[in-house]
Amino acid sequence: MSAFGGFDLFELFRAEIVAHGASLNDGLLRLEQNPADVHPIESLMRAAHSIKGASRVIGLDLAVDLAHHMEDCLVNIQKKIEVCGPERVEQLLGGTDILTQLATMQEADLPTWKSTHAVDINALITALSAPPQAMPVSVPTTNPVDVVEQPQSPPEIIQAASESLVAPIKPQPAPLAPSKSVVSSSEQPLKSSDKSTNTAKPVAAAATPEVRTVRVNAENLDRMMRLAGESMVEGKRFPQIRRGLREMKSQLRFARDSFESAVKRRDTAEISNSLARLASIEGSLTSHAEFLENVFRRTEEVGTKLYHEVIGSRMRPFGDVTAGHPRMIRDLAKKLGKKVQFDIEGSHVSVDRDVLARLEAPLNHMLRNAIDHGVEAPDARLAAGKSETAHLRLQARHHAGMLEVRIRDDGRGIDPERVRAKVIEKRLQSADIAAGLNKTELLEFLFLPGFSTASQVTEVSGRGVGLDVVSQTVREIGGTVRLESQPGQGSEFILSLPITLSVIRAVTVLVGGEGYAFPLARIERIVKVESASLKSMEGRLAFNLDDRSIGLLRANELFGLSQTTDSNSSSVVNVVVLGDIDNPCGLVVDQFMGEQDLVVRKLDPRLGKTPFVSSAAIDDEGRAILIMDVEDLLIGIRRGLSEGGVRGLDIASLRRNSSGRKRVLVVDDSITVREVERQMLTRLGYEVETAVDGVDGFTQLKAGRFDLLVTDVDMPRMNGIEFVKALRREPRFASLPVAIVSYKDRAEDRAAGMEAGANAYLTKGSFQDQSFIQTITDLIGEAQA
Amino acid sequence: MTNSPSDNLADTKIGLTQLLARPIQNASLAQNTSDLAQERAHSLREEDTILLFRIGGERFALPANSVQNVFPSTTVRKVPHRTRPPFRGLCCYEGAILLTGLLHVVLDMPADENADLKLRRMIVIGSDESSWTFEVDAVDCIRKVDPSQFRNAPSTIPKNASSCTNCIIPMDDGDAMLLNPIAIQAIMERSIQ
Repeated sequence: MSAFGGFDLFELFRAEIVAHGASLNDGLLRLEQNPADVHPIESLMRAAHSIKGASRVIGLDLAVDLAHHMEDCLVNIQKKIEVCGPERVEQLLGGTDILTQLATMQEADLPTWKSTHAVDINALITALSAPPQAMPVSVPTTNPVDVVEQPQSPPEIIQAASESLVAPIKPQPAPLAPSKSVVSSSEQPLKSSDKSTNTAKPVAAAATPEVRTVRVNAENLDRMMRLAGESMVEGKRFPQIRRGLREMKSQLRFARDSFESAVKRRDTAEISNSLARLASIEGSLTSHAEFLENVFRRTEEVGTKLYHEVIGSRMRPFGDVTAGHPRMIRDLAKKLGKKVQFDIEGSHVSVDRDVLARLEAPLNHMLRNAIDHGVEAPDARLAAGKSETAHLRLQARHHAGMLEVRIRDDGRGIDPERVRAKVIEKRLQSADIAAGLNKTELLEFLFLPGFSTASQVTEVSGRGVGLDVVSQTVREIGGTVRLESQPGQGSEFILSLPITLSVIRAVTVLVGGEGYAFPLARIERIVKVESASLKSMEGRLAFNLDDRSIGLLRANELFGLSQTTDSNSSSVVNVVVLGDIDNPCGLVVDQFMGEQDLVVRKLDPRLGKTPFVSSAAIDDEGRAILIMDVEDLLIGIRRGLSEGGVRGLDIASLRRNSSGRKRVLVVDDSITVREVERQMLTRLGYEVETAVDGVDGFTQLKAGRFDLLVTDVDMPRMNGIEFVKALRREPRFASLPVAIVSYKDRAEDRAAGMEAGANAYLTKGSFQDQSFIQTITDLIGEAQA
Repeated sequence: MTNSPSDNLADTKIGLTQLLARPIQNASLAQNTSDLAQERAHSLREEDTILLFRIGGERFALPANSVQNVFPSTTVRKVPHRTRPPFRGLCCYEGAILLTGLLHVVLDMPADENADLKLRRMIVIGSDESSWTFEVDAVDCIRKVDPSQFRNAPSTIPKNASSCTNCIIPMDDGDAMLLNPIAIQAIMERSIQ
């Protein structure tokens, strides 16, 4: 029997090792190439920290020690206490090699791994602990004594980092399915690790794609098989229905022919017979319709049951993730000389296995934090009038369609005044503003990266690599985390998480004729706003909602969709309100389509990171639909607004778009040409704006919505070729149709225009014939959308 | 003394047995093996079976073994900030979400706006991890062809790595251009990189 009670903890551990091992390898190689670049260090620290935490959970002390010393080293490098020389990188890679071998081990092989690597690891730890000056590296000319005297960390306010199995900053593959890149990275350790052990399977074995397996309850599988069989049986009834319908069709034709013939012949007897036949067919049709309805109903019922059964097969009890906690807490409390009574409530609560996998790290971290820093020593508790034994409770329940997890301790709690002092000391807020922050606002600072500052860095915690990761992980899976604390009475973390990541309830909308889904849990509200109630502020439109002014942005512009089926000609604007209470914004969409449960699918990895999109799904009508990443969208909006790439919706834009006519931007430094083109296009019914050069054109394009750009080549400030090239570099204009109209008609001029990204290249002679007009209509069609 | 008919038969049997049992020359063995193998290989070459389809009034073909699926035309969803042709978007078939491209853009042809919507089909090429789907105006049939009849593509079609046309397949009812599925996939792939 597994030491972990049959739970796939070791499998999760191996997946963690693969993911973080790959991060370590990648980051260390980058660091080796460019020691001055400290950017990878943060993620390296997280990776080492996470491996340490994961190793502790499964009781691998050797790995804990090694990861801890690696982390120490990385902290020194980050703090510039030492320079990361080639030997140091070599040592860190050596440590990574040893750790990543664990990814290929079976649980039963662990004792062998320990005995095989004990000497190597201890030697490596000694090497990693060697003072920086011992490194054969050209350390900058700093006085070693000064370096040593640098403060390790500021005074303690609140417990800092603890262990975390959290995915690091970079998006990681699903824990149970290592990605190709992870595997390729993990090939690195093979060469160096071979010499140290013969017992471990070669790491390269991980390069062969493993079949991902999941455990499914046998009863659940039986029900699925039964329903699948029933579904097939129901499907076989359709041919019977089809046969019946075809038969009726031929009977109907015969009856009609007979009837027509009888009418021509005025054969009343035959007319009566035909009518009788028709009545009989009607009867058959009625019984067929009833039969069909039964089959439909049954098919739908079986399909729905099967769907729920499949979704249910992904659910696991919450207790799966807490299996290792009692032991961990016992050991840690004993180590720290504390007495802790640990209770778990809600072990039976069903949670999606993916949520459970992601929850492992935050839970681990918060529990360790609670014991390390929240819970007082027994004598301190007695002195405070508390019982000697502290109480730590982990509770899970379904609440309002979400999984609510609470971790409560009756320890010393958090002193908000000390947090306030740290906020000022770290210059996160000015003293004036900090003075006005309430307790809730102050506690939010604890979730900022690097805010945690324990006075002592131990292997348990203290580096500030913890609560920010908890917050980030919880956000990534669509949840929230908050902290409540009473000084002297204890603290409570409250996590609200989706029960499943496989199915989400979403609002579907139309943007530019395309369907998109917004997870219901990630939007604040959807509102239909009367155009008349919109207010203009500095030319930008907003509306009032609960005493807040919500600024508006057009979704199709954000999504880079140039063509749009605009529904805003009506007096109502459809708005999806996103963001937090303090900083909301309204996304104008064409139409609300309703709410749906969507089964989440990963996007094809070949698409890479797709801005604003988290995943895909199949809608009720069997079409692909994209699920928006609201967090990413908000970041994009804020960045776009600050950089000028995104503008709030203005009145002119709303009116222009409400005409439903296609808009063309004509860019030419010659007023004559501009006017000729403007008149020609206006006569065809297009709305036309003009600009005098590339710079002016670019500004106008960014400010409004256009269906086509017509531009000259030779212009001051920015010529047409540069203009089109610059345009194509912007994702939102990547598909904007562009026609170049120039006096230059040599082949190389045309080639340059097309190479820059134009869709058509015309000479100004095209004004004389129909080719200019023809090209415009070829590119964007008629003027009316 | 004359031989009876049964004796003649026995002699013939012995003769035939000796003929069959005679040692075969290595050269003959190799030649026979080669002949048989060639004939069999020729008759079993999967790439000689093609899927014929139409785009913009022109006729094209793909090796049938490169085609994963053909299904009726369906909705293709645009992906925000992934709108560089020939990438078109995502479509769904049998629960799978498929990357979809524009083959007429790959072939540098205008789209036929007047094509009969009922006849339009989606074709999936490539394996699961590298599959691409595109819409064609109509799928005609799957048929066997004789590779010895293939003609070179005209000189105006570039013969470089990105060329999508392998050769021309002459047929009684009109020529078809045999496309290179790998090149199509590569060009579509570039549009999302």
